[in-house]
Amino acid sequence: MDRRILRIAVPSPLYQSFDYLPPLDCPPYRRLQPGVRVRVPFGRRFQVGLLLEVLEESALPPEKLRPALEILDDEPLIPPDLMDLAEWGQRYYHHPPGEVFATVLPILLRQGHASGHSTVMGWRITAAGLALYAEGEPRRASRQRQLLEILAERPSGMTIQQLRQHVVGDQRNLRILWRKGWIETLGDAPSIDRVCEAPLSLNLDQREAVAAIDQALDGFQAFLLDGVTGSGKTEVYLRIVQTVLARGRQALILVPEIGLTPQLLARFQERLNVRLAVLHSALSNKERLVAWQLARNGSAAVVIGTRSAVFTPLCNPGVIIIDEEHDTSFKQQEGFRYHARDLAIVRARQASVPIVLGSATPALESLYNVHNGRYRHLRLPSRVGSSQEPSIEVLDVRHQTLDEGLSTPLIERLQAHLAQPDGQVMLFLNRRGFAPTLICHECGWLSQCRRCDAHLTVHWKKRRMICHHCGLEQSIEVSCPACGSVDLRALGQGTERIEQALKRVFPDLGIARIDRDSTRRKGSLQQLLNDIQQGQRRILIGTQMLAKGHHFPNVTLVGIVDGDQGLFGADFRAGERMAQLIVQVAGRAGRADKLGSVVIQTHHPQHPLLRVLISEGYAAFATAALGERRQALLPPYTWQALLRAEAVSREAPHAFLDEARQLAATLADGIELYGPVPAPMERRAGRYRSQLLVQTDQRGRLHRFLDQWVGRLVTLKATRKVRWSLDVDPQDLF
Amino acid sequence: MSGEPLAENALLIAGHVLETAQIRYSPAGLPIARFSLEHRSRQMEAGIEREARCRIPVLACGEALVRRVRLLSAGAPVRVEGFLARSDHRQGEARLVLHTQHIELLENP
Repeated sequence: MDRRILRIAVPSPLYQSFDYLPPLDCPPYRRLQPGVRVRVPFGRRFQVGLLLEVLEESALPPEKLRPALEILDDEPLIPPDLMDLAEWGQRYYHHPPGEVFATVLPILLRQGHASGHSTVMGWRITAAGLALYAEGEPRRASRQRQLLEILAERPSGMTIQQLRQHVVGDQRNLRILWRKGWIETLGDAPSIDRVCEAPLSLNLDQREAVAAIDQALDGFQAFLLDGVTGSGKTEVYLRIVQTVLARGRQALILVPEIGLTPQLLARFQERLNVRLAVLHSALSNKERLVAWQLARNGSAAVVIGTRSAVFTPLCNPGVIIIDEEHDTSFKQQEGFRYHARDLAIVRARQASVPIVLGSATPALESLYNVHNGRYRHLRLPSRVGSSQEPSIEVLDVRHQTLDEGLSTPLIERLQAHLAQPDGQVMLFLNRRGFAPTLICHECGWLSQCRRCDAHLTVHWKKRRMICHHCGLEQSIEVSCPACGSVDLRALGQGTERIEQALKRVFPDLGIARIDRDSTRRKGSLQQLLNDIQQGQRRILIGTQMLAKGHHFPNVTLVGIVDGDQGLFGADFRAGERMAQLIVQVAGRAGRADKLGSVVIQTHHPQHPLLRVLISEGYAAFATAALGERRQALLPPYTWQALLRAEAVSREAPHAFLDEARQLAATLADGIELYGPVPAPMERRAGRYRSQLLVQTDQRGRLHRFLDQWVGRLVTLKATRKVRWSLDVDPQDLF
Repeated sequence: MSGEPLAENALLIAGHVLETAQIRYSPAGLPIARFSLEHRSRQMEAGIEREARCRIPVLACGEALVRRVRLLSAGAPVRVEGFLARSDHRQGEARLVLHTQHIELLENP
């Protein structure tokens, strides 16, 4: 009998896939396609893996092979293009294949649940619809009433084709009824709706951008949509998506954080009268699976999601859009450390569709790709309509008295802007909590986390000290553990403290504080945003949650409380991040017809970053920063990978990395190795961390080296004592 | 408390409260009151009577003491008993502050 071998990606930290014999009741081999799930015995347990290929023979002797238990799907759950993408990701990021392929699947499918994929085939009236129909509803919409009448006569439902014999296909009204819950789908054919509402008119730059992308819809092309804040990037996305939908294809849109972009989502929902699938981490496993299936079978014409949505299967992709492409949340920071933007580009190329990367502050990597001709540059240099770019002012706070971090000139400007009717102001400070640490006023003792090399943050309202790195929590010390003094003081400012200070200055105005602490409860962020939109809260204070995407038309002043934060970071990307943050925060000011201004408090008014950014803008800053990167031989002019190791003992990570370095020396050719060195925060959550940086001037060379090196790391003796990981194209060097 | 050698630190002083105490709370929620005491008396020195005048900062920490300090308005005559300590950890001239252990409102003379 012809017995083949199944090669299967099984979730495990091992750098290999596994060969199995087919299960006893195996379907015919020709029906066994890569991308179906297979339940297999693995060690003493069972695991769900993905079939990668069917082989004639294995390198292992047949007696060593175990039979798989069960084929879980009749047809591939993961379409071939996604299998290719995962395969590419596994090779590029040098990550265990089982974990990479597991990332592609929603968690319920990973656990072996039935995929139960459904597609809309027709419609059926619901009990609610029938009752309302009997009452004579809907009275005003005659077309809807007509549709209900037809469906009410056939309570078991009708296929699309049957329905068409009675009325001209009226998708719009059917969908209205469906949204009201009066009718339901009859398990399903792909349905991509093409109804769009009258859009805003575009300005010349927007029209040119849309035209350029429209012409490229038939093949792969990467565009960098480089538009200042308020320049109407979303409108460009909408036009492109409308065109793509009109061609009967799907759009995939990646955004940094769904919770932070409710306005973008609302605009898509308003303007595109189609089914959206929204994918993000706050969904339940079930909701996630449903959204995934809607995307896969094509009933969702538009898929909007965060990082991991790059792996959403699409039955007919037409375009990929990445909003705020510079955002660091696109890089996964643990496990399979992929960059969703970079994977999306690979995916677009494989699918032969265009990809649009939008940002007001493009990543230096993306601008570099423009320079070397890989991306096409589309500029939106001015704001839409009458709104103007805000003026930026540097406030030198040296020698100034600071009241809880706020200088008198800043307070005066706040007062002036708040004196205007409906005027709103926004203060930005990227530090949540009350104060970053507690100090003894008598002896200078500072509160430290006992598990990390970090201070404990004071949280006033909770009356707790919390470590923002490991989550350790304790009550606030009543007296100094070193000298016994009760005169302990909160040192430095967090958003909570600024909020209190502003309450004293403006006791009659509502204040909205937006950070992770104030928005923890479900719906609380939405409530705060509503209050702001309705003008009930006129002072906004927040962390970077405020910097992204929101549109507050009445905000005319944005204050950056601590402009020095980030000017002197240890990471070579600190300057880039700071510049992006300043521009993004500044972009919240004066977005309607009101002129906005931005004030940056700093002790370093002459800092070159601030000077270039303010007098010449982000593009000039980026050019200068790229020049520095080139001289310093840093990415994007070189390629990096970071090997991290951690353990409870201080010595083990270093010993492992030493061995890894020695191994590398035997393989390396044109590879620079830096380290091992302790991580910038060496101890975290009770574990010591060290790292070894690999750098070279050619991407190919880096990957040829990693191909040989990573596989052999597991054979090192010291590997047993540490937890290690490899980060290709690391975004943070710690 | 001061059984050990070189551990003695006690001051008993009476005077007028200069101005109402400033009260703040430590992050743990403990109230801390601070005021200045104006002292003026006649003392004997080398067999000769002389005037003694000084102004000394006083700290009172904790709910029980601060409750009493709240009742003191400017000019109130008080007797304070406590110990001396440096007022902060900064370098330079060491300023002393009286940490209250007992405080008593006196009858107006």
